[in-house]
Amino acid sequence: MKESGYNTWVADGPRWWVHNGISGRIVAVPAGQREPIRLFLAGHDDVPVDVDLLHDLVAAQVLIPDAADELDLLRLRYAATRRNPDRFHLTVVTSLGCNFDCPYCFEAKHPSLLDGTVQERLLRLVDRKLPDVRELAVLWYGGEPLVGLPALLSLSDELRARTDAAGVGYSAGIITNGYLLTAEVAGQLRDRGVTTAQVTVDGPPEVHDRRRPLAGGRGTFDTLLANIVAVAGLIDVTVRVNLDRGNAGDYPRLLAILAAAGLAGRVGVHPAQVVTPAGRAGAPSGSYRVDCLPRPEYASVEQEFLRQAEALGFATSAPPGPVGAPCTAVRDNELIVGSRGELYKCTETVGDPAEVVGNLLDWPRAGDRLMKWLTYDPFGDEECRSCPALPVCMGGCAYHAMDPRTRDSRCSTFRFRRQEQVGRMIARHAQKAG
Amino acid sequence: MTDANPSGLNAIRIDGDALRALPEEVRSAALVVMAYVDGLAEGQRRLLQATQPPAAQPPAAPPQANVAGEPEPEPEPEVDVRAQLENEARIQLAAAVQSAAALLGPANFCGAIAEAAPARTPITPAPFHGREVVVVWGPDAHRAVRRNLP
Ligand code: SF4
Repeated sequence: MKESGYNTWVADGPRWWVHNGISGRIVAVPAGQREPIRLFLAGHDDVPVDVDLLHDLVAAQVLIPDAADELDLLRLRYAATRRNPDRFHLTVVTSLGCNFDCPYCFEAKHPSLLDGTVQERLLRLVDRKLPDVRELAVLWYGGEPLVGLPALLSLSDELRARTDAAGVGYSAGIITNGYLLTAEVAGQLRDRGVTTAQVTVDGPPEVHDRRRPLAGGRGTFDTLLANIVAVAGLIDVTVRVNLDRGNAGDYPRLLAILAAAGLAGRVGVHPAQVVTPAGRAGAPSGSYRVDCLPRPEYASVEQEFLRQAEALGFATSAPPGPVGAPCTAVRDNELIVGSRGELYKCTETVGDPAEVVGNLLDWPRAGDRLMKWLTYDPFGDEECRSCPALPVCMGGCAYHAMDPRTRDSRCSTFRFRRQEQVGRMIARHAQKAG
Repeated sequence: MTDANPSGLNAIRIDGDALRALPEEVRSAALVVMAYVDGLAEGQRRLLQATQPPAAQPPAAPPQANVAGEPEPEPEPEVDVRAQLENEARIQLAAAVQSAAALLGPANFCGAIAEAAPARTPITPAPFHGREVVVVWGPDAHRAVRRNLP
């Protein structure tokens, strides 16, 4: 019997909490039991250890058999979840063009709408897949997906008719800059199965308007706020706040503005890190000059953001739990469809011709550039193999990992702030229970 | 002690391609095995509690005096706590190895799609993963399950 390598212990007055990354479970341990447990594990049978507690710790995989190899376990978990034959996930770019001109955008955008021919091919691919899956999940993406609203609506109708006929589940969400997300549009989306929307607001008005202006330079904050207030009852809205050194100190004012607008308890909020590798062909991020936060520093800003947001009553994203293969890029039954029918594996590569992995017209075909994604192996990374965050991160962002300039930002923030994050889990649980 | 997982059940599920090829009865059979494993773990625990030395767990009621004429009760068999725990831990591990606990939503580090929170409740539900999902499949599945039972 030994301790799992993925335990996080958090002191809390007269007791400890211990979280296990592989099971995602937490057990309370009276402070007086920690030493007896240690002695018991060291082979002493005559210590006053609470046997019930030991059973709980075993059930939560905090304690594991001596011979257990947890890395092997995670390897198997990764392999099994990389392949999910039950669910086909499509991210669809309805318009690579965008009405905004954000200076840190990582997409090399050009005006291009998903036309009838591409829609037709997309439906043919879905027709081929439907007999083999139980769920079709769609994420509407851009550019700005609402610039391509007609295609989004008609394609939604077609997809839903097909999944209904096939007895297959359907779910959809949208990532939008929010400018065109009026109550009327939100109603149209909701009627077509779109239940969640992510809208990005980068700070109070003067900060946001500098970072996320319309193409042409006009500010967008006031419109976004009005839209979010109008649609929050129609669709689940999450406000994302992209942070770098240019605005990391400004989010408290944004949270206060959102709260004053009555949005606490009505929308979720979460921060995200701006990562701008230089030199991505044609993307604004190639010439963005504001410093990005190093990952450990971002991890600390993130926790403070979440603490403040929760104190104001906003929903926030859950602390990370155990995962398998973490995203579309490395899962084999998921694809991103560009507005011209070109295919990608990673949302951050959309618009980059060098990252096109194939085409809807003849997908899949020998020679499609899939292999770097589907053979990406976090277990080949020395840091991941010895990382306590591995079960909740599983190698993080493959795309960032593959580029030495962005490699550090591949990591889950759990790597740097696990005590705090486990503390948040405990607090949330207590709040839920209370 | 408190296990903060409110529904820490073990489930056994036949999954993947196989699921579609299987009749409903087979899936129900898996649920029966699940109940068996749960029951077994619970039984084990009760056995252990019943056989714990008084130092570790004092009996709830004082020992009863022997009624004259009744035979002395057999001494309880010694239970090796360490071996019991190892055994339970092996079962847990086998479950976790085969577990397909994939979170299928967007990843929370993703540049484009940070994990979305449900909007209308102040607290995101279920940060704890209550159910181990054990994938049991293959011609030998039944034997594999049995092997992992004590
Ligand atoms: S946090 Fe970083 S080092 Fe750790 S598993 Fe994730 S990617 Fe690997």
